[in-house]
Amino acid sequence: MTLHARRHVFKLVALLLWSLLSIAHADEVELSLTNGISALADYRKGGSDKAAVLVLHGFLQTHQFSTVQRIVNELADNDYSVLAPTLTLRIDLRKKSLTCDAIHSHTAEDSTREIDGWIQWLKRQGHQRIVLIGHSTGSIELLNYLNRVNEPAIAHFIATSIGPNWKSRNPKSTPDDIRRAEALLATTPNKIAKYSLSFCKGNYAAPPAAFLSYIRWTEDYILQHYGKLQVPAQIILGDSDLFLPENWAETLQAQQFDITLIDGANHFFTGTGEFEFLDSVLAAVVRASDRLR
Amino acid sequence: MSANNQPRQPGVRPRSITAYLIAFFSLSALLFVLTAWWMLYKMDEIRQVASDTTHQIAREEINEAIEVVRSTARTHAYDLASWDETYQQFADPTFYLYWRSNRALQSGLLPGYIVDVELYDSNGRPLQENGHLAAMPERLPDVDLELAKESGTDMLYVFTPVLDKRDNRIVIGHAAIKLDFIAALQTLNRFNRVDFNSITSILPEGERIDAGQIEQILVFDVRGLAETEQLERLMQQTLTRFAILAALMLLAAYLLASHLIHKPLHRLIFHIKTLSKSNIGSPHNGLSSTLHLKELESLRVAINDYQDQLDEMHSNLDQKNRELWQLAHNDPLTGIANRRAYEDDWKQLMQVVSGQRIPISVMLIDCDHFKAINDTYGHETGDRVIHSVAQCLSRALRKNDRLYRIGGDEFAMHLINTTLVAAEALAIRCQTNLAEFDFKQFGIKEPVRFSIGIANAYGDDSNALFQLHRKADVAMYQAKAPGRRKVICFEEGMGSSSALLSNRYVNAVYQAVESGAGLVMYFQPIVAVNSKVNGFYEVLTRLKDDEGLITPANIFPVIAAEGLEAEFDFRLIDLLADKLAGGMIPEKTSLSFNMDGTTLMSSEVIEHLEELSAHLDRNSIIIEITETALIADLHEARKRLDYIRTMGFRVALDDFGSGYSSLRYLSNMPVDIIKFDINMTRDLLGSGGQRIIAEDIANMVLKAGYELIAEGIETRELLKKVQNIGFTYVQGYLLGRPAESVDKRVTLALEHFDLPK
Repeated sequence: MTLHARRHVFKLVALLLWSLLSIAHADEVELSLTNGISALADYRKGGSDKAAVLVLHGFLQTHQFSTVQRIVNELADNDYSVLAPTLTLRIDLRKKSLTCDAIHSHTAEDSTREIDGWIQWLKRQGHQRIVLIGHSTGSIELLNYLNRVNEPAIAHFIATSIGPNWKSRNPKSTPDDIRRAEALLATTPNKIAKYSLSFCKGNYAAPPAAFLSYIRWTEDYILQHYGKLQVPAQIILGDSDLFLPENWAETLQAQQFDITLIDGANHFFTGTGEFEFLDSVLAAVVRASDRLR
Repeated sequence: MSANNQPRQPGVRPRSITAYLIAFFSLSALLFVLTAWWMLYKMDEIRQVASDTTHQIAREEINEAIEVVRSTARTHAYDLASWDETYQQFADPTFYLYWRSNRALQSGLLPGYIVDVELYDSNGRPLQENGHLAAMPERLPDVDLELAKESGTDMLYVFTPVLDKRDNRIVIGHAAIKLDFIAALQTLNRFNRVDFNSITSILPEGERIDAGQIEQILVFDVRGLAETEQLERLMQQTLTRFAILAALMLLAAYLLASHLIHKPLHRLIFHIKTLSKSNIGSPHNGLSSTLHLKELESLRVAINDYQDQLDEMHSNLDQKNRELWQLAHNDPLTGIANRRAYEDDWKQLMQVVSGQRIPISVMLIDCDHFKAINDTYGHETGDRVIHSVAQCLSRALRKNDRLYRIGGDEFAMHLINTTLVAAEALAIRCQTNLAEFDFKQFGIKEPVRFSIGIANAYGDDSNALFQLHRKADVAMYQAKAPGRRKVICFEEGMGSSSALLSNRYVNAVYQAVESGAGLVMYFQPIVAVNSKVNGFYEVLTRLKDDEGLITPANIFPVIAAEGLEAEFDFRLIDLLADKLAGGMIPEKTSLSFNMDGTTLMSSEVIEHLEELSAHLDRNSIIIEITETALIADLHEARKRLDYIRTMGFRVALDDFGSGYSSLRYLSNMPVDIIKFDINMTRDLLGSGGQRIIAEDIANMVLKAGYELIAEGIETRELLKKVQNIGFTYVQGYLLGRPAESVDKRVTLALEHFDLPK
């Protein structure tokens, strides 16, 4: 066994042990929202001298999603306070991921409000330096939030596996969905129809407005708004991420964005590249935290 | 009584083995039928028990299935009530209708048998009044589960509260599901005994009941009975096959038993019956083929062995019979046929030639003076003579002639299809052979002569055939007469042939012998010459029939020819005893009677004489024995005469001088009286040697101490002569003819006797 391999085994065992401990110390927190429902989040309190980290899950997932949990655990293990909220998607105290077929009446604005609510919650908890980490669509949600809200507490933004909700540069059915949604919005705004969005292929059930609220998150939207970010940001991608558009990393690099490519890693950073990914995340958080200290 | 003829035991009735076999196999078949019936009966019982058990199991199975449905339905309702999307509807029911139809029923959360879903608010009203399903209750009922019959379908309604996520004591609403109960029952359960396609309820249309009563309204078919029926069919098939197999086995066993037992037994019985019906000693074929059963095979072998032993015994018996026949029909001395063979062959010949015109001749050959030869030269020499005579005669015979030795020195032949001339030629050839034989080689100095008598008759003349032997005998005696030819053919009128020719005398003799009928006694006086002795009467026998009196000349040839000497004498003795017993003969009257030598040698003579001896105290009796008879077996004759004399009889030797006995024998004979032959008496008046010899013999006898009777005294001259010689008694017509009774007045003493003038 090589030294490298031994190191990975050691990290794996350590991760499992700390995961158990972390779960034992995990604290589910609830945030009442303005629409009458409440949201849940996994909160790990860390050292007060370190920046707090908000880790947001991807499309229709929860904070229990494995990639999120690995990031949370990694950071919590390193004594960072970590908050991993679950977007309610208009479901009170949502704990489970939603299927594409479920009624998606929630909008991008709902998510922005919830993110802001949680950031405010962190601040109420005493965390004045906050690092945002998003995974996949969560990264866009945070990008959208940063684009809309100027929150001084946000110290750093790490966008992992960030990509468009639909591949506008190589569209297939989504333009039709947009037209159909726009037509429905004009006539029967409460009509639920099925669209293609993210990994939902023609079965994303949503009223037109809700659907259209997410559909603007295209490649161009990312390129345009990421470049306008007022906080330090960096992108971590797996070089084997098949969910992203072709040559997406090159496109981003072409914009001079801070991008870390993990060799062999997929969209969820499972398997090969997992530890390198976590190392990269931790390193980025450490840098951001240290920088703000 | 033989075992076969023993009466049958009461109650025991023998039956054929076929009957027993049929009875056995019928009983076996009946047993099988009873067994089959019992099996079917038991099978029915088992089927009933199995049916009851199956129904019970099915009922338990359906009850468990109902409980599974109830439990599962509650779980489904709970799943719905705790589903995020349900909470989503309670938070914002804007899209409730879409959710109910597209999400609640199609998200996969609920199974397909759930047909409707409804959410109610905490007050029990539909979450969206406008979109309420008519198929669901308008208001939340009080029960959590109920079953309703709707359009023929059993619908199970399940109602469960939707609790607040933060505080489960708070009910924010209710979730209701409606499911097709029977479909759920069939989907959620696997039935072994219940035919799930048959499950239905007896709930009336539109009725609703609490779900706890579902067990009472479900009906169903039991599937397990099919297996029992299949098992029953299988058992029936097995039973049928077993029946066929058993029937075949019974048939095979019957055939086997028939082959191994029945048929072999019948073969044995048939064989034994054949043996029992066939002639003993006739050849039989044994049971050859081997039998398969050891016991029957042993029986077969035993029967064959027994049969072989019987055959061997029969063979031995046949051999012994042949030997006995040979002994009975052959003369041991000469090897030729004996008298019995002669008589048997004669009877057979009579049957063969009866009614046919076939000439039959009988030839009798007798050795002259053989007794004298025998006595003089001994029995051994006599036997040699007889043996040589047989050889000489045999050489003279023709091819089909047969020689018989019918007496001591008497030979005979039946000459079939032979005329008198041919028979005479054969006789002459015999005489030639005999004459040419050298008897001197046996030490015999005297010439040995033979007399041959021939008689001839035809087969169709039964009377003549019947007399043929006697005629030949007459002819032979004619040939014995001095000076005659030694071969004489019988001629009518020869000797006493007139008597012989008639059946009258034969019948009379046989009648007398058999019943005493016709037997008449005559008494001729024998007068004492001197006073020292008493005279007596000689009892003379005559026969009387319808035609009159038959004289001795006609009686005794018949007696001799028929061999009835002893029987005739016994009848005479018995008659004499009767007369003595009846007092028909005066007391103190002495009697004498003649007894043939054959009678003396008979085993029964003593018995008859003992009867007669009872009268000896009143009447002295003298038995006159002919000389010829005495010398036939001198030793035995002497013993018997001694015994007779001890009984009290006196013995006289009759016809002394007519035979060839030597004086030496006479001197040893136990007799009291000698009766001179009539010819010797007459010789006393002759001249020359004959008179001298006769006188000398008389004197010698008298000197020897015997009393001497002279018979044939018919003249005074002869009486005077015998008186002078000293004869003790005299007898003859001069002194008295035979009379039918005894004259009491007459004194049998010559000095008192009135002689005729």
